[in-house]
Amino acid sequence: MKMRAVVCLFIFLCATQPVPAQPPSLRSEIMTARFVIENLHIAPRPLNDSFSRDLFYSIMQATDSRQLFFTAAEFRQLQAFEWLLDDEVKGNGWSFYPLLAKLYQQALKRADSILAAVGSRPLNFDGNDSLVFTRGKTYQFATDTRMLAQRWERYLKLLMLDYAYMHLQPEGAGGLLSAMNKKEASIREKLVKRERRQLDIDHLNKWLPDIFLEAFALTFDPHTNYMNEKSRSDFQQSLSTDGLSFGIELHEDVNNRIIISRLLPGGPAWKSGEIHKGDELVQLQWERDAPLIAADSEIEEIIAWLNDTGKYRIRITIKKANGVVKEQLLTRSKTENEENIVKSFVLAGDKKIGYIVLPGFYRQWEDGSGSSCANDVAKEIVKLKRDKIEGLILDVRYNGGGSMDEAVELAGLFIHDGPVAGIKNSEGKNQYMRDPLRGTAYDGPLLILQNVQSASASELLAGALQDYNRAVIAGSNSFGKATMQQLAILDTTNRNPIPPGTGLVKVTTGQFFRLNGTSVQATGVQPDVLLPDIFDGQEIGEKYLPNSLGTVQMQPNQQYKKLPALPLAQLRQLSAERTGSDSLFNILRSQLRDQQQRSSQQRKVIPLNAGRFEKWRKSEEAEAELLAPGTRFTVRNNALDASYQQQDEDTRALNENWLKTLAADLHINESYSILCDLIKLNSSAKNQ
Amino acid sequence: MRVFKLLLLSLVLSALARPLNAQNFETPVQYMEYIYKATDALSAKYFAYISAVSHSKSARKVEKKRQEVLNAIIDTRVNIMGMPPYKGDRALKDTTVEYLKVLNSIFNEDYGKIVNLEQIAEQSYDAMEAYIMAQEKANERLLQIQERQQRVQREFARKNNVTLVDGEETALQKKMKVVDKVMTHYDKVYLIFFKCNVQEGYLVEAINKKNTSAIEQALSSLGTFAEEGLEKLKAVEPYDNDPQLIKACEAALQFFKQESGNGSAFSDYYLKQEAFTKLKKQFDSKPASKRTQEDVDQFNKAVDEINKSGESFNRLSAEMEKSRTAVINGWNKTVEKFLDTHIPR
Repeated sequence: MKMRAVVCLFIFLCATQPVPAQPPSLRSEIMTARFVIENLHIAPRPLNDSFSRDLFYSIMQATDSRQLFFTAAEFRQLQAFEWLLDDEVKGNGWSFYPLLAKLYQQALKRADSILAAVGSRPLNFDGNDSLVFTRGKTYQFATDTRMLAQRWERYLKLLMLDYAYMHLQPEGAGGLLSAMNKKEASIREKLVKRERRQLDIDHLNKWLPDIFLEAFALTFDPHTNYMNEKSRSDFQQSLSTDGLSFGIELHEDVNNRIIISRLLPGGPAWKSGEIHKGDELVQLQWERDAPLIAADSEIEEIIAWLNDTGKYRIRITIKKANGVVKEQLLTRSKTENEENIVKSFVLAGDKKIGYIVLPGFYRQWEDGSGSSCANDVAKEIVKLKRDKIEGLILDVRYNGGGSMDEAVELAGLFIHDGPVAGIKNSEGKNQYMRDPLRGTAYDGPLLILQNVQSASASELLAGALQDYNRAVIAGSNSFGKATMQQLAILDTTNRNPIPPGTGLVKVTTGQFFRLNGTSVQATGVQPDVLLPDIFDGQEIGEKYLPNSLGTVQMQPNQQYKKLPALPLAQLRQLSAERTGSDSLFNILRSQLRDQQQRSSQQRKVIPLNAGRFEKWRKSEEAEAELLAPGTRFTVRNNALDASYQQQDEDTRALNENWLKTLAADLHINESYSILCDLIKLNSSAKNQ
Repeated sequence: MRVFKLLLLSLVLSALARPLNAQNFETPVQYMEYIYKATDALSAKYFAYISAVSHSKSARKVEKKRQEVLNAIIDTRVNIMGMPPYKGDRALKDTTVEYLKVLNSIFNEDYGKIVNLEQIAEQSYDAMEAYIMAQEKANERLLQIQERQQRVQREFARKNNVTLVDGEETALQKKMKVVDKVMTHYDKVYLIFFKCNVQEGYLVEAINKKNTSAIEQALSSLGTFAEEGLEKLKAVEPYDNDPQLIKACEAALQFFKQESGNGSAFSDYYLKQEAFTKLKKQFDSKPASKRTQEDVDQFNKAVDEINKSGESFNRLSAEMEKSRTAVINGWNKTVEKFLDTHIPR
């Protein structure tokens, strides 16, 4: 505890009083990271052979996941350390990293020459060439430079075909081949230039240590991360100088894709309801301007483009994890405290049901001033109660978590009082977090809609309300992240101020438990009413992440008072009958079967012939989103928002999009019907 | 108003257990009488305190008497601690000292010394519930230690061939018995009132902070507590055919129930105010030349609505404040009157 307090202070000092100093060496940073993580981590892994092996392959994954850089001989040299890295990070020798740096520099230089050579001549997209991917973690390195060159050529072809498919929109008889033949030279030049630029050999000494540190941290668990100065300031960079922003934070993943890593609560992207954490950025286009293709650009370039002052409306193209590509028009604006961060609507049909969507658990200021999501949800509940709703849907799909305290407070809106979740910290102490305010803000029928992207604080909420029998949980199994993280600075010397360049680690310091003593870690919250979802069958979730922590149990809480059981068996049956005869749900089920069949194949062969690639790509693509006919209910704003909302063009367009999207959402439609069933079952039980 | 109820049961009982007709007359009886006299003096001090509470309007006098009880408990404890063991037997002396220690903590509301407050905090929802639970546990503890003291006293008498018989009640003892009954009734009703009153305090705090989540939850709790309290009150028998305390508590609870029903108007008004502020900001930021008729109509309608809401909000606040003052004053006055009527002079 003492150490954490020191850490927080130092973050502040470091941010305010930078002084020039020598950055610490990787070896000493690793020692510090080990000390900090081992002290704070809830279940630090012992540094042994198994740790060494995981760390080794984590480094290989980060440096050469596609086996395009190292030769088999070089890999064997590195592999000699497969079981020895634990000794090295403990201070016994330091030979692996210097060898890795030497071989990697050599490999990058070689790749640069290969790319220059491969990129200097036209590539043929009319042959029988193909790329084969095998499932699993086997590493098959090229035996020599000639083989590496062949691999680069195929890889480049794949990149070019993918680029052409996404951005040339081939039409007509010639299809992709003809479109490619016309633009081959320019696409090749562009992509080769990008690949060579991304090798970034000149700064290897700067970024290779970060890869090592990141791999080291991740070997403890998937949420223990190393953050260098640059990644810390990424979000600050995403806010432009005029204070206007789109409210998105970006990061580049290992495959050089630009991913939306965070949405600013209440920002334009958050409010659109169409953009979520984890979406891939495909393209940006200012009004009346040429588009910027994310695949062509460095992350810094994209951030600068987004911050171009004087421009306000941008068309942003994103790709969801399931492959669906969407476009959204966003207007750059200032996100202020009084913004409506949480949105609510009334679904009026057979019954009048309130709908609240919550994409994250936020708290603007730690002292409790400013917006907090529990209070904002309470406000929407008051508005909906004025509209005399008979039930409420709280949508936490795509909600990746956030403040645990807010999740506890939010659960408290629906339960009278009592514990909400158990916490185990790194000192091994168990305690229960309790509803901080006695009483309920809403005590009517409640449904939580979740999907596999609902993680952490969302799972705490859904788990608690399920344990209390307070809400019906509908949708798919949630993500399965029951851990909590804290930031710590990589300095144990108490130097004041901390030298610039000192990194931070986000360490997993706690795990939360459900009141019944089980954990959602790796298992997620199982919905009461399972609905098929487009993400089904995909490897998304904590259990698929390397080094994820296992599930442990604690004593069930004896003090919480369960509410009477909900008629779940009947709700499940009624829903199954409804979705079983629903043509859209049946289409979805059949799409999922196809998808599952494809993903279960051990070998994946990607044709590099333009014509065949086009066909393959189309078959791989997610089907167009299934839209409900919108006959069960009409969606409208709550009465208060409707009378006070300014009706300018942007607000109107955004609002209309919301109303349309909600009416057409298959899962909201089914959730609506489930709640109607619950209301009817409750009332017939009362009359008996 | 909170009046401290304690001591009675134990002291009346120990006073009744008078030693008489001992074979070895001198030492064990003297030993027991010393203890008895010390605790009997404490009863007198307590009666003076409860009498001041019931019949005096002077807060200073009440506090002075309360302090005197505390000092008397401490003095008695010190005196008994100073007694030698009787022929090596420390049991009677030690249990009496322990009993006085518990008594002191309860009278001082220093429950941490006698019950596990950490455990209580763990089991209870908030400070109010913890306070009630701590009191209950402390009283349980007092009863246990008192029973033990009585057992030890009987054992002491048996070992030393002292026969204990119930003596005739003194005037003070008679009065103390009445005080015990009156205070038991008061305590029962007070705790029902107390729970709602504290919850209402949370509501007022939430309204002042304009915190919607806290307002809504405090309202629902207040409603629940008021309903529960009204149910509990039905089971409380009037003291000596006097229902005034029950009636005053019922009036307060009815007000709290009504308040919880009307309270949503507060959140409602704050939300309207918030929405209006936002709308006004947007309206003002648009140059007059660019405002459409729709914008102007919407704004004017909103101004009209917020003004009307403001008026009814102010009216409701004033009415609630008036009713609140009336029921709380009514409760306090009834408590004074009830104690004044029933506590012997």
